[in-house]
Amino acid sequence: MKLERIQARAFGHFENFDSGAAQLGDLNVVVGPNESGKTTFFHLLHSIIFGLYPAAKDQHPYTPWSGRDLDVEAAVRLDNGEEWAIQRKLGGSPTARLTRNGSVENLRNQTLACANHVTRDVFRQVFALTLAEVASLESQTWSEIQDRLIGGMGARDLVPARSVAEALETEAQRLWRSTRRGTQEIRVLRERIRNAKAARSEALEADRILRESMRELEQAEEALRATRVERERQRLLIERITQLLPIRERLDQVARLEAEAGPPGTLDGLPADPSAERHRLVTDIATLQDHIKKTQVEAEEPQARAESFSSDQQALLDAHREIEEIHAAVAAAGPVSARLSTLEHEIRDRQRRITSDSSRIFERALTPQEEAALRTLAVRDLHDRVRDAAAARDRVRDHAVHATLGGALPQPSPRALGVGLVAGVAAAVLLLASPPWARGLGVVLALAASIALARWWTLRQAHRDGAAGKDAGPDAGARLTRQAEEATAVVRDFCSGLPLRSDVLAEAGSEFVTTLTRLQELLEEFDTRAVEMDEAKATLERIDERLTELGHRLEVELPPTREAAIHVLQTRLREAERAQEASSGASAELARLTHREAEFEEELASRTQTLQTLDQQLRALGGEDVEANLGIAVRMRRAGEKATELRADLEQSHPNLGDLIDRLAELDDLEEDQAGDDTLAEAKISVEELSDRIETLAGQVRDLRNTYDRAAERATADQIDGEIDALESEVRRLEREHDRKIVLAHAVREADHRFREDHQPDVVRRASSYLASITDNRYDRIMVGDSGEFYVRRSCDGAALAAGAGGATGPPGVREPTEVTEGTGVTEGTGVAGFTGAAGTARTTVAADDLSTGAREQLYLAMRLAIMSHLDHDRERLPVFIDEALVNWDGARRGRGFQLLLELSRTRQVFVMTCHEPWAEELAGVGANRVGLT
Amino acid sequence: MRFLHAADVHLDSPCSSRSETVRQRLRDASRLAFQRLVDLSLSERVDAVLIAGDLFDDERLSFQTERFLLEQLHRLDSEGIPVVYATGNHDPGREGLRSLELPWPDNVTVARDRAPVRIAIEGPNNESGTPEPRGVVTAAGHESAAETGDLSAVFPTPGGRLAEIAVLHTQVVDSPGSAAHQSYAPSQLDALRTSGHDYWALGHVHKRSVLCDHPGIHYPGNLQGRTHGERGAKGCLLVDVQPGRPPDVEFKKLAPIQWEDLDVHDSSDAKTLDALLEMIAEGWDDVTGGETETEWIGRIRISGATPLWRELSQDDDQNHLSDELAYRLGLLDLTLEFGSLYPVVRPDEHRAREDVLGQTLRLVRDVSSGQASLSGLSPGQLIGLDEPERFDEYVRELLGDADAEILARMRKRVAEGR
Repeated sequence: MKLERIQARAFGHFENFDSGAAQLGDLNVVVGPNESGKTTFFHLLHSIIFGLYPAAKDQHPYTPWSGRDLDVEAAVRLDNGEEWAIQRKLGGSPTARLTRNGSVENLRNQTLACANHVTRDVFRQVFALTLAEVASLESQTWSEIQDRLIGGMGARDLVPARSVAEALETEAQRLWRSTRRGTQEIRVLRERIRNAKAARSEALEADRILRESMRELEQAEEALRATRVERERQRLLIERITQLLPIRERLDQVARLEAEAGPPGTLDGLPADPSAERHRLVTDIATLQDHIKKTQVEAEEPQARAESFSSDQQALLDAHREIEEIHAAVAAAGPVSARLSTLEHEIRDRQRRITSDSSRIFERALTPQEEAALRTLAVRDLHDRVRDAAAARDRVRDHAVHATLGGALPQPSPRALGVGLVAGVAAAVLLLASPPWARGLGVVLALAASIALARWWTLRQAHRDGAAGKDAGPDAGARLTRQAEEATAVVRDFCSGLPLRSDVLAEAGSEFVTTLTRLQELLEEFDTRAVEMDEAKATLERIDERLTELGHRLEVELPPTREAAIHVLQTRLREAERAQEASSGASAELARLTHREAEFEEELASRTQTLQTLDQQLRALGGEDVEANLGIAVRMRRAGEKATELRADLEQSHPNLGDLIDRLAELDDLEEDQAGDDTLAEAKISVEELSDRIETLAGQVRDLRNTYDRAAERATADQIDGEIDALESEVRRLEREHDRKIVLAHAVREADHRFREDHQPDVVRRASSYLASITDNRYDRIMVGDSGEFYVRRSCDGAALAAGAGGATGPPGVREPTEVTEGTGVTEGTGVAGFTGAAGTARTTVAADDLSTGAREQLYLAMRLAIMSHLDHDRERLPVFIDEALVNWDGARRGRGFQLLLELSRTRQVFVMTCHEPWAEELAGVGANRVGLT
Repeated sequence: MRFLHAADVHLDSPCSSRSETVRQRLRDASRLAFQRLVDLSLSERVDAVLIAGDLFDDERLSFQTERFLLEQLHRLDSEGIPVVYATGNHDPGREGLRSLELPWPDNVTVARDRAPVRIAIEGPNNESGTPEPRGVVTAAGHESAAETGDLSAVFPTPGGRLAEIAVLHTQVVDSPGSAAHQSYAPSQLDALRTSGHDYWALGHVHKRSVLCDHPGIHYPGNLQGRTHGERGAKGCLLVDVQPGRPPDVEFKKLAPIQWEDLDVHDSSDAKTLDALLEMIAEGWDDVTGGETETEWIGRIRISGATPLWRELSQDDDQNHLSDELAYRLGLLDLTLEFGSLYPVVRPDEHRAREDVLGQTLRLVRDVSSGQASLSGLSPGQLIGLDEPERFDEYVRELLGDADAEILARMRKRVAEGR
């Protein structure tokens, strides 16, 4: 890759910078004083190749102070001759455009594809050499470069092997390391195991203590129990002496009194005070006898009153309901009597009207049989026959009229028929087919046609009827007359049971039928009222009969009218009720007195019996002298009461009297009832000692229980063993994991080592040739130690050899190049691990740190140039930037350095930055293109 | 004769767990299992309870557990159920050891030395008022913790008409699972089979196994699993033996806690932690059969290729997954182990690369196959190496599945999670 033209419209303090229309050279010297922008120039080129980073305008270090967007542009020619134009800008976001072969691509902020084989970091570290950087290529830096370099050979997707190994070792060291530095899981676990094992011993000891404590506890509890028994015995003794013996005396007194009171039950049934009780009984008996006599006298008066109520009054009371019923019936008979009068009047009225109507159509008054026939006459049927007879008579009369009027009517005209028909047809046509104006005419014509046709039809019929009458002649009149007579005969027959007048029959019409119908209705009304009147009469008769019968039965003489009779009965009934009420009160009083007398009698019997029993009980205590026995009973009772009182006192003062009596019994067995005050004092002392002993033992038991409880709470050996097992298992697992990581780390390192051995010499050999060229073979070989440190082989003059400068031997592990690079004069090394010293008598090995600053810079420049060649071998060769890197070199070596750069620029574009005008001229002298910065 | 056959109760045996709570639960579970054994004896009204050694675990028997044990045995005593207990290598009967010191109830016969003890087992009184004989139990115990002789060899030959049962803590040579146990008091299967006993109630092997159906020669396994090595249902055997006939043997699960493992070798289909969780949950259901009455202690090992290899190497994600799994699976305890986790890559495709990665993969392959060694590595650097002479073998073990990890660590795209 060759940068042919560079433009910066805005980049740092570059504003509209342009390297010029003429192409930049293979070797370029950028000249300018300090602060003129040489570093900015390098970053400008770097940004063209790799993009603008940071990709935010406000963070980019080369954003112009004016605030303009960064804007750079470059023309590039690739190694294959292809021309690219790149423009990059950074405003709100980075943009980039690549123009090649006439097409434009959006690069965004990506690295140019032709530079992808070198990362930005590597480019900055290897391809950009400043004075400060070229003076040292520290071991770590070198290692990183090696990792990238070696790891990148054919595979850019790998993590550096050194990093992988270190990560594994770090992980392993987190588990365990030989020193105690930092937290190590395995050491932590082992510490826990140690603690657990210590705890196990404690647990076994705790178990031993537990068992021992339990044995001691059982012994202490047994001793405590025994001591308590002894103390109880002593207490019993004291109790006996101080408490039980007085109780015994009182119990003895109770026993004596109980003996005086006699066997239990002796006085059972006797009153508390037999004498007073006996006197009370005698007095009660006399009083009761007096009460009985008084009650008997008192009962005589109510007895008389009760007997004053008669049987007749009782009969009246028994008929009480019947009287009330009759009273109700008499009250209800009033309307019946009134109705009876009304019925009699209506019956007379109907008889009069029947007689009147009958006289109109009958020859005489009807007999009962004829009335019965009239009641059953079917007037509706008669009405039809009467109507037929009237019609027949009408036809006879009509015949006579027609015969008189025949031929007076005009003949039906055919013309009228024709006019009518024509008018009708015309009207139909007009109505069906004509327009609206003709419909009115059609209607008119239709009316005219209808009238003409109706007249024609009427006249035609009239002539036909008249013709018919004429055609019948005199025979027809006779026939009609005969028919009329026959119809009249039918009516007569129908009313055959009735004495109809003949004139009425000859002209029988609707009036005749109406009269018959009204007669039938009057007869029905007559019959209905007659029945009702009979029923009213029967009702009144039944009331009268019941009154009469009741009066006879109760033997009460009753007045003739119903109302007066029932009044008498009711009055007598009320009198009977009053008499009954008076008698009833007397009976109740009598019953009360009788009951009272009975009670007195019963009480008297009871008292008498009690007195007899009491006397018998008293006699049972001694002789027949009741009075004397009364004194004995009183004494016995007092003794018993005293015994009971004493026992109650004892029970009250000694609620546990039963237990005390039992203890007295036990004491009787001990036969120590003769114990005196000395024994009491000894017993009290003994109890005190025993109590102290018990207190001590109880405390001991408590302590032992606490000890037991505490020991029982502790983890047991099996629990701790389980934890130890688990921890040891975990330790074994982690140890194995540690070892696995260590072995893997070793494997990676060893593979890496072998790989470096196979591939690293290429770079070192090339660097050696560069160094030999710069130093004119003063230093002809570079060697790398195991840790990445550098050594160089130096040709020595005799004095140096004699002084042994740099030492004849180097540290182990230094590797040397294995081949000779043509034209460089470097001698082939051994190519095996381990430093074997200089090859030849005039060479010695010097560590890089022991070189002069200039020589060290030459060493690292040579290494960097070799690395560059290695990195883009067979790829696009990227330009190199050297910023004052040769400042510490002597003139001869600088000149050879310039020659080397000139040589290098044939395959790679070189930019040398300097503020030293002479050097710029020197470079220009060897063909470098000059770029001036101000 | 109907009896319960149990062994290897290991009361107060250390329970390996880093959680104190879990250790306590396991300790309680061991007691609860024994209590269930006693409950079962009472509910089944068995004629005897036979314990074939290792009732407790060396001198660890704590005072509290000792009291518990005696209390439970007293329950059997109060119901008249005899207990025959033959000592084992973990509870030998030599003088001065715990089995001798315990105040055993009257119903317990302890066979604590090599001389066989014969106990007549009787049932309830018959109509004539005398106890009905049910069988004869012969038992011998371990005197020391390292019995080397064949204790079964001195058992007397049975000759009666009653069922003959032998109780012994022994390792039958070449029996299934015996390799996991130290060979104490070894006995020969043929000798047991031809001894004339109707049933051999054995102990020592913690895995339940049937060595012979007729005569019955059974290991009931231990009563409660204590480690991940003792997986599966644990309990005792309910045995009904009639002279000369194959015994009826029924396993009765007693352990309230069960251990199970689940290995997830290939989780390459699980693209997210949730998907992995689901995959594991399904696998765990297959292991437990969906049983819910048992408490479970699970060990789940995740290894191999997984797209989640990076997440699963982070403590936070590991803890998250562990918490989620413990909750989702309802486990009493979960040990989540991560073996070698690596992305879904194929190391063989990279072994031929001409760069450091290829060089490393080839070197690992050569070291693993014994064709090369790591020159800078010495036994002193490996803290887990107990026997220096095993150095090369140990290194090869460690490099067993290193290819994928190396690839994951060295490739940028993978290492950076892209």
